[in-house]
Amino acid sequence: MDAGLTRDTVVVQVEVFFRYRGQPLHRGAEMMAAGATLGALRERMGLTQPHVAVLVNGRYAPPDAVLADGDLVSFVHRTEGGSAAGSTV
Amino acid sequence: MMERVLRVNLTTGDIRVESLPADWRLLGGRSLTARILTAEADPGCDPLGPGNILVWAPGLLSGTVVSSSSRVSVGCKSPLTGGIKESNAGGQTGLLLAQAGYRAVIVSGAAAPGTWHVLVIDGENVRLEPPPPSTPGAGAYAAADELFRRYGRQCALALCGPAGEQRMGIAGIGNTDREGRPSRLNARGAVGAVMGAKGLKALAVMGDQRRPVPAPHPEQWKQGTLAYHRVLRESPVTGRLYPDYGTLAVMEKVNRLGGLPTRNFSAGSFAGAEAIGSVATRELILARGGEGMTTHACMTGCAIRCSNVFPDAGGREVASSMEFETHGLMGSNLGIDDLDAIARFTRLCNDLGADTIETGAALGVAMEAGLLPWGDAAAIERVLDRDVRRGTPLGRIIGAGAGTAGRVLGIRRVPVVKNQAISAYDPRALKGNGVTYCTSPMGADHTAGNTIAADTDHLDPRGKVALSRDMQIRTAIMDILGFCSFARGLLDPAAEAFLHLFNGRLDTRWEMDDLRRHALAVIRAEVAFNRAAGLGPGTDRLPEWFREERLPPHSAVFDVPDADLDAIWTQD
Repeated sequence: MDAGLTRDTVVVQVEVFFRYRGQPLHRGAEMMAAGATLGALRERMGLTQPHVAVLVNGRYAPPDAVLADGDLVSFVHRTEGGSAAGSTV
Repeated sequence: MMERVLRVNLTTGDIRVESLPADWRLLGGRSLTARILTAEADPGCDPLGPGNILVWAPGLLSGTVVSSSSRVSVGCKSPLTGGIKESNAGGQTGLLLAQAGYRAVIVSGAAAPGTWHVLVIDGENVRLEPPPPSTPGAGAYAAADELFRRYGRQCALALCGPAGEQRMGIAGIGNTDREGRPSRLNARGAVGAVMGAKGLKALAVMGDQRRPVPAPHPEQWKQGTLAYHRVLRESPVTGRLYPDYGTLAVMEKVNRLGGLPTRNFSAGSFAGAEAIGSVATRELILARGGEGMTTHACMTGCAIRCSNVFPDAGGREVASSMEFETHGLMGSNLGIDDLDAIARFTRLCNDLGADTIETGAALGVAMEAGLLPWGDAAAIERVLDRDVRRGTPLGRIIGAGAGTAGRVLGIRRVPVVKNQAISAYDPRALKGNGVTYCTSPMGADHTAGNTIAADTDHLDPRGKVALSRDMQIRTAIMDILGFCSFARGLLDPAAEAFLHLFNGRLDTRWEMDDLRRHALAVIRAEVAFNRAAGLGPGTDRLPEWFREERLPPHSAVFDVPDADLDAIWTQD
């Protein structure tokens, strides 16, 4: 086990498919406390904007989803606009 | 300016300019194509016969200074689906038609076989002329050059290309953009084949008769215009993402969701997706410079500017515009991970006047049948430039579209609904879009109600009928007003502005619920046309294999219950 990596932490892979930290595309790993949520990761990475969508292992996950070791978190554009609210008609 | 309607009968050559009928006063774009077709076309007519009607209708806000609102709807009975069709495009046609005072151009009848016409609209002076002798049979770029020489560079052209002349299922209608490229297609539903069957080579709408579109409540209009543009500018999506990345912005998301068509829909993610994705495309355009543009407006006055111009290694323009659907259907779906190849396919399809979705899906079926190797860009270019252009038997098979290609080649994995190819979102991974493909009266068409932006588990079938219904209604509102679907995301944050624009333009006091009810009524009228044309509820389905064959990487099948699909338009 790498130094600093304990049962109290999880490491998630992250990828950002737009300009981030000066790069057109960003890939890296983030160490989080065990039990950390997706929302906490977004806060830490500064990617809380509503036009940023997040997938965990290729699926939608809510902000309170708890991250697991080895998860792949993808930050992508939330485009093709329109709300998901139910029809009022 | 009195608003009017132009009627042209190509059998008799009769041309009539009529005042806008009172009961069409609140109709435009898709609501007007639906009204005209349901009232005047026999649902049982032969789509390629003289009984079909071909309608151009700019949106209700087209021709105004409102950004992204000058799209044009083309309506007819589709030779591809056998049902009603509204196929929507940007470019300059909608803008100039509306500014010339036309709510609709209604073309009936058909010219004598082998005879071609250009319909010239020069204000109230409307005439049919023979096209330049070199243009029937020519590619759309050369034809546009010839027509601009004759009519002047300020006109807008809507062109029937070689695919339309041959009445192919892949045929769209190519509209010229601000710089004169015939690159903005009414792509879907083989509307170009209907134009070709009528013997109409082009619409030429002159640009020197431009008048303001009426807005009887100027203060309300001004208020709506200012508020709409403020929200558009301040939204990070319309203000920055679409200008930077265009439609390709969605590519990486769809790939990660496992919904990117790959090798004829046999997988949902593609190893080469990043190489042909939004970041790679933008960075390559920036690196090559020259004539390349990462952002470009396809119509005058668009502030979103989602289009682009892709250059070759020497900086010379290859194609405009690189679009997600093309990268999906003619990239990953064919095993192609080369941006230069996709740019050449785009150029060729523009020149043929061909829908890249239908063409890519048909090529995928042909590749599965072993007619072409996966990933062979040169073979694809040969098929497009030689076989489709010349109408060889192979070109005819591809040109007929994915459904016919599958039947001829004995392939079961054919991605169509109502015989129209599925867009670049696999419905097993994006079930809301699957519902749209099934239940839209347009057949498989993401532009009828795309659910990709919703914060939802797209693999979960629950709630997807309601989601699709909502998006289809919102989309119909956009199609009626003439807005690009990229403005659809502003419908909530700028709701009041939209209402000011609508009411200011039409002297009404509508609320958003009125607009929604109106849009729903349009969809129901379109469904009724389809039922009368013989497209029963059994055609509101994906092919069976989508429910049987598991899609990697999520091992997903389409599992929205049929009963839920059937109920989508029944609730009030």
